[in-house]
Amino acid sequence: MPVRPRPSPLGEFELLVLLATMSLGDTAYPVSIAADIARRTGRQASRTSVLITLERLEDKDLVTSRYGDPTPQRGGRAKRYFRAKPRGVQAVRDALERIETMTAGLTGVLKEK
Amino acid sequence: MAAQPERGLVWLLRQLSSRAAADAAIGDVLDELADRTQAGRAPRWPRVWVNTQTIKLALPFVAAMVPRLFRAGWQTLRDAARSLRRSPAYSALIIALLTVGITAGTITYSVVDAVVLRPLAIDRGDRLVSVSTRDDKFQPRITADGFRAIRDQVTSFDGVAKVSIESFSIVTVAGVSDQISVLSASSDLFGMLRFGSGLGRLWTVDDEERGDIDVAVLSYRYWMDHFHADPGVLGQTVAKGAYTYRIIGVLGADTDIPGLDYSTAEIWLPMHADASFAIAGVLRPGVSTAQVAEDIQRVLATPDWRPTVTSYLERNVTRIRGWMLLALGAAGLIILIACVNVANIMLTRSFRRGQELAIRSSLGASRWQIALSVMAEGLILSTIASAGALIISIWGIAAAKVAVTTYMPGTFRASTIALDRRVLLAAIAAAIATGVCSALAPAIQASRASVSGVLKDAGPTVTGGARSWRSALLIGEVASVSVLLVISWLFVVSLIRVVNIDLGIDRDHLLAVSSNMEFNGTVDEVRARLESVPGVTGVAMSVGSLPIIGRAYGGAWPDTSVTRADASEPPVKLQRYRVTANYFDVAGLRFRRGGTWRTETALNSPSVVLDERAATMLFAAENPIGKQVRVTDPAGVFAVVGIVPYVYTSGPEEVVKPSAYFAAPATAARKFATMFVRVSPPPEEMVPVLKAAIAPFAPPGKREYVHIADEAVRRITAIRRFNGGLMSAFGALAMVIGAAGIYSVIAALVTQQRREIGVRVALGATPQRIYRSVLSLAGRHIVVGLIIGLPLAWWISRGFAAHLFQVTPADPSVYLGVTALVGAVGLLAVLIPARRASKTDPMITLRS
Repeated sequence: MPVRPRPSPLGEFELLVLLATMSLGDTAYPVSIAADIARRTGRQASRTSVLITLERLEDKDLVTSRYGDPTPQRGGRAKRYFRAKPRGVQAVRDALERIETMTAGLTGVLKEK
Repeated sequence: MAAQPERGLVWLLRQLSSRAAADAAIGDVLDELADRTQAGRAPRWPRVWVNTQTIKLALPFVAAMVPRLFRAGWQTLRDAARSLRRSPAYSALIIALLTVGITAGTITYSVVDAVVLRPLAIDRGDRLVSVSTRDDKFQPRITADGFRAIRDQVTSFDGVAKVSIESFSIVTVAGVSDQISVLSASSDLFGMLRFGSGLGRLWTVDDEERGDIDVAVLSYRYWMDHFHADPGVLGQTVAKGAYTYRIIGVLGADTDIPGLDYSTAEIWLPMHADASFAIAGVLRPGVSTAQVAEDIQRVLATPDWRPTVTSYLERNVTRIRGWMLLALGAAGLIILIACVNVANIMLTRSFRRGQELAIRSSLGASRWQIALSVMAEGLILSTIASAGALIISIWGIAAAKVAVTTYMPGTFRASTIALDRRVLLAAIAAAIATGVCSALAPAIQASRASVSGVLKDAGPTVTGGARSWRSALLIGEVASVSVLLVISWLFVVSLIRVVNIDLGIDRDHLLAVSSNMEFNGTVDEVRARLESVPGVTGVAMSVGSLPIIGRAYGGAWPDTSVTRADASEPPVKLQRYRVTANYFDVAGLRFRRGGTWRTETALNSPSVVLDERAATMLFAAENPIGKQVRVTDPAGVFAVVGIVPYVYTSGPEEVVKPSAYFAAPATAARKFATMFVRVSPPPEEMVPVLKAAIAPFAPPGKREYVHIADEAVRRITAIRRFNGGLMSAFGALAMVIGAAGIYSVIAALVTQQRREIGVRVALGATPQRIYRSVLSLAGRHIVVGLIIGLPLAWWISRGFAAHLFQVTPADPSVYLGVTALVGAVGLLAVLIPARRASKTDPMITLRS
């Protein structure tokens, strides 16, 4: 069985998107993800950039998407829900580990205001 | 319902991603809109917001696609270039064919565009018109007051002016006499043409109203050529006839407009109140010429006469437009034939590459990609061909300009023929279209190739679909060639008939002295001097213009009414000539009956010579000799003494009234006449001799006035000759391209079917049988092509029947000739492939 190469390390925004996707669970779609990031980080993420990032993560095989039922509010259009794949969860873990490794010994500096 | 994005944007987004993903993304946009509305942050223009958001969604996709497209495009082009390099002979043939087609198109288009299609290079030039001021009887119908009424009351004009141009006018400018063009006009002309002064000033309405009309303005070119831009020219004088004018200005440099005859005038003078004039005007936008003619008629209150209002450009190009568009059509047909030919050759090539394309297809190349690679080949070939064609065209257009100005002197705007931006763009567009069109059929066919079918076989085979494509293209090519051949044949036949027609006079060794001006001595003196020149065998005089010569170099023929003296029938209008008794002998008019009058009796017993058509009109089958006719001008009763052939006064293609010849009244002091001079040496040698002989009597000025009769006929038939030459060149080109096409296709067919032929030979087919089968294959295509092409040619040529001479579009001899020619050349082109097929060795082909 062919071994898939490890995905390239996540960028900062990719990490945020992936974390929001994981925390929203079954209700993660671009609008809710953008809102979640804005709510929790105060960073205004545009729906378009979230969608493009999700597409990129899907290309990297870190997330998967499915279509929900059409709703009248959306002009009869379905929602596209995203979910992190185990590879995606692993990528988040790797990214957090890298950050932890790099921040070791910097607690004092980082806590200074 | 909430605002929705434009359908076009939705479609675009669906193309860029997938239908479901695009719909979901748009749904998100609508969700966000609903959220914002709920939160009281609704956009001001929801529809604009939704569309902007949709565009924002599409942009990243487009940005991601561009490098991919470039990469794919570059790869396609590189593969196409590699594949072309592998078969240089094919590539060279295709490039040559396309180059010929595009070159023919570019050169023809540049000439037609410069002469006919381009608008006048002047502001509002498309609305510039001329208004006739005289009626059918040449009586002036618009007076100076009438003009003022038109200027003040006709609202459909944006500007209107009185104008008249006098060519070859003798004028003394700053002390130097010259023969130049003088334009007289009302000051309105400057405003109408938006002409300004480059030096000094132009005269104005105020000058005209004050009567200050003894002023002159020089054209910019005349000022540059004769005064080397010396500003000191202001204040110098211009003398014309009894009047003297003071130079007050020079026109601006931008007034030298090609094709505008006002720009050819060297001196501009105010118009005298009593001078005869023409009217030029600029129409208001949206006003038709018919409407303005109606307005003028109403203002002038002339219920019996309405002026003719003609577009300026129209007036200049009418005579030549048909011919030019015909040439353009023929060039278009050449491009079409080249295209069809190239398509067929590329089709043949794509079958040879069947295996390669099948392998690419089996490795995952889509039909679209395979078709694109064939199209790319077409594009590369047409790009190379158009580059070559443009280089050849630069030279070709220069040659065409020389040809047009030499063989059709006086052609409108011939001096502006050049490879300009319009022509260049048209040529490049044509080249790209040619490349794409010729690759279209092969691309479709290549993309349809069956993978398993091709890979299973050891060698390429020809499928049914392929055959029908190729047959259709070959038939199309033969049909197009036959259309062009019929058309060019019709024009060549017309030309031959024009050239060989008996004009009535014998042009051989005949010269004319026709100055259109008074001699510097009496006519008798000039005649005596001419007769004394060695080599001159006869000099005949006409008081008015000479036939043919007058048409070629300017002249007019008055009418006269003639009736039988013994009957009260309505008079017939005849052209009146007043000539010396030896006129018929010198002009080579052989008497059908009777003879000329004897000089000494002409005054006592007035005589007339009629031409055959006039005699038939007056006397039907009776013998007219000795009969008397009553004539209005010269008034009196004349006895018919001779009958001569009808003379085509205005050349072979204009039927004019029959002629009546009267004795020229003897006036010793006469200073104006035209003369036919019959010579024995070649006429070209005699022109300088005659000019030298009568130099002391030459009218002032530098104008040529000794003409060769043959040259005059050439001048009259210039357009016909030029077109005949052009059409025969196009016909020959079509035939060569067609023959090359038939050869290459049949040759390729024989090569591709060699296994099949080998099997047939192995099964007992004789070489003769194989030979005949290849010939009949080609023959079938040629016959079908002719069956389609000939009726099409007839249908097309009916459209320009007016341009044909003594031959009809349905002339069977033309169609028989074309059939024989196409058949012969087509079969000749397949002789070599047929021979090759008949010599097929079954063992070699079956083993391979």
